[in-house]
Amino acid sequence: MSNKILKNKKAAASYTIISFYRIMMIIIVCLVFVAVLWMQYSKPYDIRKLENAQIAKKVVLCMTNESLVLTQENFNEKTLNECIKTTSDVFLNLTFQGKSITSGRRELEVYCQVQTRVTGPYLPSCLDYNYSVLNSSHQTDQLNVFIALDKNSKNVQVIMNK
Amino acid sequence: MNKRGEPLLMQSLITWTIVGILLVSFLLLLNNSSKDPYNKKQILAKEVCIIITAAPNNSVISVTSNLLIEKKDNNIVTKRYPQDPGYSYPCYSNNFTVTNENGKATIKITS
Repeated sequence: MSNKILKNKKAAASYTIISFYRIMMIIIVCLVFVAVLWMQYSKPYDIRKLENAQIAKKVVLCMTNESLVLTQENFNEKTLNECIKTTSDVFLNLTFQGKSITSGRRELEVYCQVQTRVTGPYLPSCLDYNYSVLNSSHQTDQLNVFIALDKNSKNVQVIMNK
Repeated sequence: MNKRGEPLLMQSLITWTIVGILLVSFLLLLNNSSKDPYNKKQILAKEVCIIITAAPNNSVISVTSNLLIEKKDNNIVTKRYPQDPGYSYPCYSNNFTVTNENGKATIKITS
């Protein structure tokens, strides 16, 4: 049957076009499939939440001298800066008994507030932790640790420059 | 020999060859994404950074790997060989020093 078709020049031409179209369709579908998977697998691993958790734990242990007893005398920015080196990639805000101390890049806090309304790949990773510590009268009190961590370029796929 | 089926056979052969090539390249791509040296470097640098962040002061961490681990401006740099620019990850929550000996990296947390 195909030989008959090939004898007819018009039919032969359309047969070639259809074959070409079919092959092109298969190539395009496969290429799109591979491209989507490539984009998915080439993403960097985002470890910022893990880092945030470790930093929070470290700060709490350091501020309380690993005894989990926190006093107002120890709760100051000097102690916080001795506990952890902050750079432009981090913002820390600790709240204890109504007093707040901060360290790092304050703009990151604003980006975290924006994050509740807007989602985007270039926003920092923000986490809020509540720790139970003992106050000076050895009663349970709450220590709130808020951390914002940038490091976007190493943890999020950068498609275009900021 | 039946020559009638030849064009259809050729078409099927071409189609399946293309599909086969694309599938094999896809499988190779998936296989390489887990063994890719860049991914390996990234995973090691990030793992080491998390361990450093979690480590208490004055601790010593030993890392056995076929990759080199170095410190550059408080960044962890993982390399395949000394001239390799490597993968660098910022890790500054602790002060540390890194020494490489016989394929084993020793990281000392200083403060």
